[in-house]
Amino acid sequence: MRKIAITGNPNTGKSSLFNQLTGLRQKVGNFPGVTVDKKTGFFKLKSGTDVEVIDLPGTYSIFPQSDDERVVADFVQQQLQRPDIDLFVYVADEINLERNLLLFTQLYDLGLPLVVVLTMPDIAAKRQLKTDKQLFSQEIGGIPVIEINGRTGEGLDQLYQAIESHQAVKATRKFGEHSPFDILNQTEAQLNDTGIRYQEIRRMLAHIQRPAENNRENISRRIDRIAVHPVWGYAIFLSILFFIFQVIYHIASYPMDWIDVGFLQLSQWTKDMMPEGIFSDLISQGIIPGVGGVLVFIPQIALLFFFLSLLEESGYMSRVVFIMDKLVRPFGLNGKSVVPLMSSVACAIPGIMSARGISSWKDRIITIMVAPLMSCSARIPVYTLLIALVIPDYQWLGIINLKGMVLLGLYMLGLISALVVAAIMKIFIKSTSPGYLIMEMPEYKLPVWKYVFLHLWEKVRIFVVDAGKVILAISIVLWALASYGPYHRPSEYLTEQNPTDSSSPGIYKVNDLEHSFIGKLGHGIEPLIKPLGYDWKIGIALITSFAAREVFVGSMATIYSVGEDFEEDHTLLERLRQEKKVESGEPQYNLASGISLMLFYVYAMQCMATFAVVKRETRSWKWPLIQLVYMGIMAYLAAFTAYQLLS
Amino acid sequence: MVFNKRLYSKHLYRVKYVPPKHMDLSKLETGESGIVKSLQPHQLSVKLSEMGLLPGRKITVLFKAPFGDPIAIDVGGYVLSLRRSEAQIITLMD
Repeated sequence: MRKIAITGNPNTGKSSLFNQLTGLRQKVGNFPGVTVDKKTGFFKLKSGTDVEVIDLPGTYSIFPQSDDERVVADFVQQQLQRPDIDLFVYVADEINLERNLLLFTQLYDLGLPLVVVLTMPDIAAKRQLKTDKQLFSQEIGGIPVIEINGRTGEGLDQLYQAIESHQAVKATRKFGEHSPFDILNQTEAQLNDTGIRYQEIRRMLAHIQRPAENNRENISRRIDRIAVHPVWGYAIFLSILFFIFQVIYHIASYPMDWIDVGFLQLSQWTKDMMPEGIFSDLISQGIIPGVGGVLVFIPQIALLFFFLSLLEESGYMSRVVFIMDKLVRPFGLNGKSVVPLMSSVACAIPGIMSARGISSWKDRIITIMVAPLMSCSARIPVYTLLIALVIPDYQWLGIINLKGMVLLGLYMLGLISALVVAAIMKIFIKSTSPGYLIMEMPEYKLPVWKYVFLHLWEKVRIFVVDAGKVILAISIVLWALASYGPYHRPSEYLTEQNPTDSSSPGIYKVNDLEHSFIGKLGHGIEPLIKPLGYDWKIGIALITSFAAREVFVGSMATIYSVGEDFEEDHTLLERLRQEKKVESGEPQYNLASGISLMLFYVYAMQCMATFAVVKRETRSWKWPLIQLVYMGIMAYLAAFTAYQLLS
Repeated sequence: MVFNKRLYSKHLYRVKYVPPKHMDLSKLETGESGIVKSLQPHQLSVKLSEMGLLPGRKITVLFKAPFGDPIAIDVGGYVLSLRRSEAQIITLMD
């Protein structure tokens, strides 16, 4: 077994090399103490030797400014004390060799076992940039220098050979004045040392690289004239977003329906196949729908990450960051927060997962905390049901429809609330490292499909494996609370299988929501939600829809024993319209209670999957709990104010 | 005696002293170039130097985001974007 680590600058094709080497044999863990992913992969050499690969985060130097960089610094420091890595594969982009070699010289001076991989030889060749690998290798004391084309895999054999037959090479020179770890906290010395290293690198490069003729404006610069244009830049970004949402709304619903129906049938089938009893119920009604509830998110996550990784791989993402940064900065956000927040309009889960690209911890946590306020697609069924129920049909000028305006208003309210909450959190969350936007804008390039799909696969797996456990656990608890009750059932529900009529408290299986624990809870919270204009039935729906917001519609249908497809079949709407308040006989669902409910769903964190993902991404229970509480308080206050003002 | 307006206002009217303006990267217009003179002491100056912004380096402003912030510059063949506030750390030769 050999262990190697891949290091280098960001945007060099480091991850591409990792993917080339390991394919699907990857796993994601995390580095101790921080929320940075640790990607590990495996492959076999021709000789049969197994190799373990660690993909270190891309960094520009060993002096840490962000969590990513701290991880690399700590990792290297640990290797100096207790070495267990046989070889560091240093990945450098051939067209930006000067800047790329800074980190290399730091690692080199520390005496680590290295091999250099030069990427993007195809682009270098196009620009007639020639690098003398032999001379380069000589300059650095015989360390192998290998050219690898990330698209074709050309050159990989040489790397395999270097890993197989790697021998320790004695460092023959020093690039800097100091060993990097001696000046970890001395800014002045770091500045000087960096200057000296750059000088040395430039001197060395003068021998080994013949610079490209740079008289022609390259394609990237020409694209950028439009991509960051004050008008076209935003127009392009909005069109791309519009296209992505259209595709997600139209395509994702099919596989989501298949998963829903498939698991429903599987649940029914299991129930029929197994002997009756609590064990059968647990499997057929608790576990199977729970697993279905995890898997149903996959189409949305996969589609969104497909597009996000296309944007990332092509280089367009950094242009979005560039044109949006100034607009969102007053709210404590970063240009990098924009795409995660926009993704949350489809679904907060991929939105929160994509916040990982934000290097500043504070900006990232704020983005994660406000992402669920953006109106996601799961709110649509709730909003449309409530709007159909309480908002009158009214049109201005024949085109502007009141119902449509209310829906738009709810979306805007979510967006504005997210920005306001972000601005408030900016004051309260303390940060040790400065937020900055010193960012390389890579050149545009065609995405490699294989890497796009590997990225998508990785995200889906993280969701299913890490967040899935929490989601499954919560949904089993919700199922148990909805199917069992504290007392025996009323006599009219007695059946032959369960003829108990004991009235002593215990745990009994019930056939309807009202007599279950959730039903009791719904009754129990009635005094609390009465000021919001809700009765215990709505209370039940609020509790069950913690699983996911759209469950509200299904729960209402179950409580009133009608079909839940309110757009085709109007029985649910009619039934809700008839519902009267017990004391006053007024309609339960009027403008006041309807608006109050809509506002509740704008703010409340009614999504266990988001809860689980925030726990996964922040690696703590603290942040998801804070989020649950702050959103709950906002929901309550907004709903309370609306109901009291309108009724 | 030359009437020194700045000293005059500083001492007589206790107006806040304004240091003489130096040339920094944030003052370059799109398309203009400059040569880095030094980096002001700042938490981010090491980071900037690591990105290749070192004394003697020629840099060119390639484009600016709408509202003039952030800006994108050419640093020895690659494109670096940074905020105006970050660009102010970089002093240019006059």
